[in-house]
Amino acid sequence: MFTRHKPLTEWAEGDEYPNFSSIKITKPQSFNWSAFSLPIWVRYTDQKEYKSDYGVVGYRVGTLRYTNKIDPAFENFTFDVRHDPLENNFSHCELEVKKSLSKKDRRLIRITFKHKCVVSIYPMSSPSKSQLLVDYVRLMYHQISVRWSL
Amino acid sequence: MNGFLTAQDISYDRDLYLQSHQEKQEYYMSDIQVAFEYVDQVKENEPSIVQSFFLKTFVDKLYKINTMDPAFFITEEIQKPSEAVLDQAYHTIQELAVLNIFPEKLEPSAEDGICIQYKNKNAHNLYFELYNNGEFGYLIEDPMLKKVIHNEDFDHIDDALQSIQAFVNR
Repeated sequence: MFTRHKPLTEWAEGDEYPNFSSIKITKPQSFNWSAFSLPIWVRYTDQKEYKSDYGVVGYRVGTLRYTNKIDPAFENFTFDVRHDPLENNFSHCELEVKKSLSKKDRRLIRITFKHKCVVSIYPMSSPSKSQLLVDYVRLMYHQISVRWSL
Repeated sequence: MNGFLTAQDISYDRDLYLQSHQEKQEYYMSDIQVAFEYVDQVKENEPSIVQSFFLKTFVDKLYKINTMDPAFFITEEIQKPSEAVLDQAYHTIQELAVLNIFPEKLEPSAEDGICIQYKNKNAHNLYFELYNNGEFGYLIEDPMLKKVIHNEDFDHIDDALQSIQAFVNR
């Protein structure tokens, strides 16, 4: 699952990860499903505008769903991810919050999501051609595995 | 405020000073002694250049957040930090700046409010969040080990300030 972060306000220059303050878990949080999207495609808005300076990170679906691993106090499937294709983005998904959490619990989950995210593209940078090729191969592999499982 | 050195733009609360000294039964102080003591005290309480710089930087940041284009908050689907949160954030920055404790970052929080980040000598991060619903709390992480060290809510802002101070001096 890929999502984008605005440079500076959401991801400071030189930082390894997006700011903790910008990790959203309770509001409608959009992702691109990695089976149908390259990380770089997350930079396109629904209006087909390309945000060339945005950073992109990826989360494993397991990280989002299996919150019991973060803390035994949390039940699994506190969050889920729903495939919600848009006119211009078939890979679009939304994070669903299934259970209410206190601000304290939300802080713990947000920081864990930050720790578990994988950086795909740093802000203000562009992936190299070889990186794009690797991303494309991964996309194909993921697509085959998804179709195989259906 | 009153005082005889007002001609030199130096004013002081004469009654306040005399009263505290009266309690110690020191009636002998002249007006001049009182005035000089007041001036010394004002100088001691003046922020240093470093304190003034950081205070200005982060107060400007608060002002910027307060005057941000509403479209930003609509796009991000978060609430603008409330006046009360901005006041408390200012109070936090100011109180800790006096102790030479300055934030690393200050940003609107995705949880509706303000997030102030402090760092200590061990390179641990403390994220102090003040929420629009009146709650506040902090989380301390070790970014190298990707571990959460502490996560706590507070009932009173002064307790939070003490804990932040203890964290930075750790």
